[in-house]
Amino acid sequence: MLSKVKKTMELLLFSVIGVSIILSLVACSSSNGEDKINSETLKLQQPTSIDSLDPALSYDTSSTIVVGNVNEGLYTVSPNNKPQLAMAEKVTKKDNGKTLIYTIRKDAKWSNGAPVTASDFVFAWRRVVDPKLASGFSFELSEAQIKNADAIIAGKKDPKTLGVYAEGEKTLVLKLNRPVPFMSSLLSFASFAPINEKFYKAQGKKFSMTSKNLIYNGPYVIKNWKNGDNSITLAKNQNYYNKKNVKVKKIELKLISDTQRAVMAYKNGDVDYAALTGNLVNQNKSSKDFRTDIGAFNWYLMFNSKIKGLDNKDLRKAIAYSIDSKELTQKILKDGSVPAESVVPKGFAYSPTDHKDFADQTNNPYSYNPNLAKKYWNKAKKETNLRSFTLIYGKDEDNMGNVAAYIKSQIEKTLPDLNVNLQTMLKKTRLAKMQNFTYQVALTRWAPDYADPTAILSMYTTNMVSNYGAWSDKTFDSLYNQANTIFVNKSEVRWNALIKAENILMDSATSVPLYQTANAYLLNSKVHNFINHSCGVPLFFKYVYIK
Amino acid sequence: MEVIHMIRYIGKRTILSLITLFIILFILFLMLNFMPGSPFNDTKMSHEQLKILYHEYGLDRPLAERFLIYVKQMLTGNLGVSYSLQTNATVTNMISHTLPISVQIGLQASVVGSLIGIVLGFVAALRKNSFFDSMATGISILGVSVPSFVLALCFSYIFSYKYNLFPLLYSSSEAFRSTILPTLSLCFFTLASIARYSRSEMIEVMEKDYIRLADAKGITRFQLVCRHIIRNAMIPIITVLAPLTVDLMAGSLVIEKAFSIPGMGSLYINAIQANDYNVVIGISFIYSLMFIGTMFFVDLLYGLIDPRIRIAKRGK
Repeated sequence: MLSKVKKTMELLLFSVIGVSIILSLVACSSSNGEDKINSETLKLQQPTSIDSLDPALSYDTSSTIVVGNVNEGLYTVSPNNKPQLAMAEKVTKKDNGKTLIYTIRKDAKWSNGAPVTASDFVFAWRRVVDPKLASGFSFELSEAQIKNADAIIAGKKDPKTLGVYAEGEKTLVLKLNRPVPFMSSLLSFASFAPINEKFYKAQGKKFSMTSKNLIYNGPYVIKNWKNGDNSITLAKNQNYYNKKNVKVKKIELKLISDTQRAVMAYKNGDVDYAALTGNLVNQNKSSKDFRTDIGAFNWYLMFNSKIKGLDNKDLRKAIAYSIDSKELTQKILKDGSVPAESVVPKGFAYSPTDHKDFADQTNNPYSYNPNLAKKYWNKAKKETNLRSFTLIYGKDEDNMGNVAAYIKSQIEKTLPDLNVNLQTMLKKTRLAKMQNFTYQVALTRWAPDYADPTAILSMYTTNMVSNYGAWSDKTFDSLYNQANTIFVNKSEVRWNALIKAENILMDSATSVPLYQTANAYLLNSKVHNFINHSCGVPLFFKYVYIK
Repeated sequence: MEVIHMIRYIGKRTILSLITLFIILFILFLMLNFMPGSPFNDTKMSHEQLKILYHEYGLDRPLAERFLIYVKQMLTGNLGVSYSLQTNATVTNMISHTLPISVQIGLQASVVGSLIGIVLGFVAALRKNSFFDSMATGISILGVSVPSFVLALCFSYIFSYKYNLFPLLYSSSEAFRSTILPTLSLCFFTLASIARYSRSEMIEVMEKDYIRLADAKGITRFQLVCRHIIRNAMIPIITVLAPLTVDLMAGSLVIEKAFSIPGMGSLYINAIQANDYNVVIGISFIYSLMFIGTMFFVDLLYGLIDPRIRIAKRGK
């Protein structure tokens, strides 16, 4: 009996050693995929599956990338992150910027050969604001100040009354409530793409369900795809007006949701791009193919001001000063994220006069300072009885468990009388709790949709649906409104008003910015002009080339 | 007479199965109703828009009404549409797209795992306390304790990355070759469980008096093993194997994620996380149907394998 146990144990031991050796080999494996790349095909990892290829209903990043590369709106984004005319060849402003007239390119065609017309834009945009479709992008037409957009979205007016008209085949007229300084950035987003009405109606309910139920006006077309496939292939659109400048003939997007597997696929040459998260960032830092770009959004703590105690500014400031974002990014996250210094993320909004980053021009009062934290906490203790709160976070969101645990330990260490309870839930539940104000403090994020500080600041205005902190400040509201009305054509004054608004927001500590994410990835060194955009469509393939 | 008994038995079991399915469906409906959050991508949607969407999809109606509408639609093969995972795609289409690959890999893993497991267990039992027995026990312990994702990683590294024998990721152009590594990664647990179970069952049966009697009657060892020992040891093994097979066929999230297989396991988990009610209910229903159907089939199979069960049923 004893010898049997011994033999079994020996076998088990050898097997465990064998598995360990294999695992360590996996971790130490070297890159060998570069040679497999050719100049005509680019293979990319895609972390999530496609939710929809309907421009009005494609919300997740993978879908937005595909939709943004097979469709093209009036504008696209250049490699240096600037909006650039695309389907429109000319724009004329009238009525002090309240009427915009776009001339559609004569050579713009759909993949079935039909011309792209102004009516295609009218049809697509009316569809986005149609309450029956309830598109999550309808707010963008509202942000664009297109006449009647708000009333149509609320179901009070007919979509036909939207302030967008076709004058002849190639002239598109836009009527706005007021001029919008960031209009070109907004119009480069995928939801502003045109839809050919005749084709749409012929497809009925099948529209966008497979690659055959779509036509394309962008640099690429989709080949042999149906909903639920684990890969999607884009091929160069032979009817695209600028096809001679599209260098890569084929783009293959492969669904690989496991990051470790994506790295293996990258090293194997199965993909030329793999996104990195968590520890894999650190492990691959020394690779010559390692790249990192600043991410599009900040993670921050949002306080629900409707809760007694959390409406206390001193308490919020005490918490803000007790968190060491530097340590959080360098020792906990270790994924290239950087401490956030303002509510508006870095690297996406620049001054129209001196091109300085908005985030660098605002005050950053909350670098880690335990003494100040204690000072504010002692003050707050006299004003409120709150001695504990619950911090909610999404368990399906990257690293949030570690971040929440770190925040709890930091606050409890610096402010000994304050107790932090952690509550984990699905992201959807976290959002629902925030929308219904049934939370106390949340770990949350917000991604900007267009390159202007108002894309972030708008959510803190009184009565805004996304004002999850229920915070309200008259001066902030007034500065925000002035920036969008009387200062709209005075770029410098407008910019300064927005800086003042951000400073008021930061001083209130209604939300405490923690860190700005980074996009870390492995990219074959032969791939060039592969640029991650900080807002809107994250990647445009038409500028990419392989050499 | 026996046929009438059998038909009556099948009829009774069918009605029971249908009632079970109906109860499962209702409980699912009830549970999803209490889940927090909405099924829509609603970060930037206004309350009015959400209201419109709830009305559009009938989610603003009372639970009982929704349940009845769903059951009515389901009887015509309509499982509704996806709210967010694949917006407006029919659930029937989504399932018919993902189920075959999950079933294929699950069946492959079940067949490979159970065949090797049974052989391993039986030989270990017949050569009790030998080196082979120790080896089989070792494999069993390893198979139960090493999770499938570790095996998936090892197999991928050796067979895909190092020697390029099989695709690293699932590819529809190499459909069968793409399923070999997932099958191997998945089958180990079944193999180990069945090996352990069949070994102990065989040993138990071999010690029974009727086996001693058969042996004393002078039949050959081959006849003894095939006609008496294996046949008797198989019944409990089938009981274990049936739910294991259904589990495998329903799709493994870990394996599907590891090999990028567009299967039902990953669709199910994504649907739960996205609150995509129709997809969750649709897949749960299919899973329950598969489970109840298999148990029903196994019940019938018992009768074929063991005449004693047939007789007992007839007695009732």
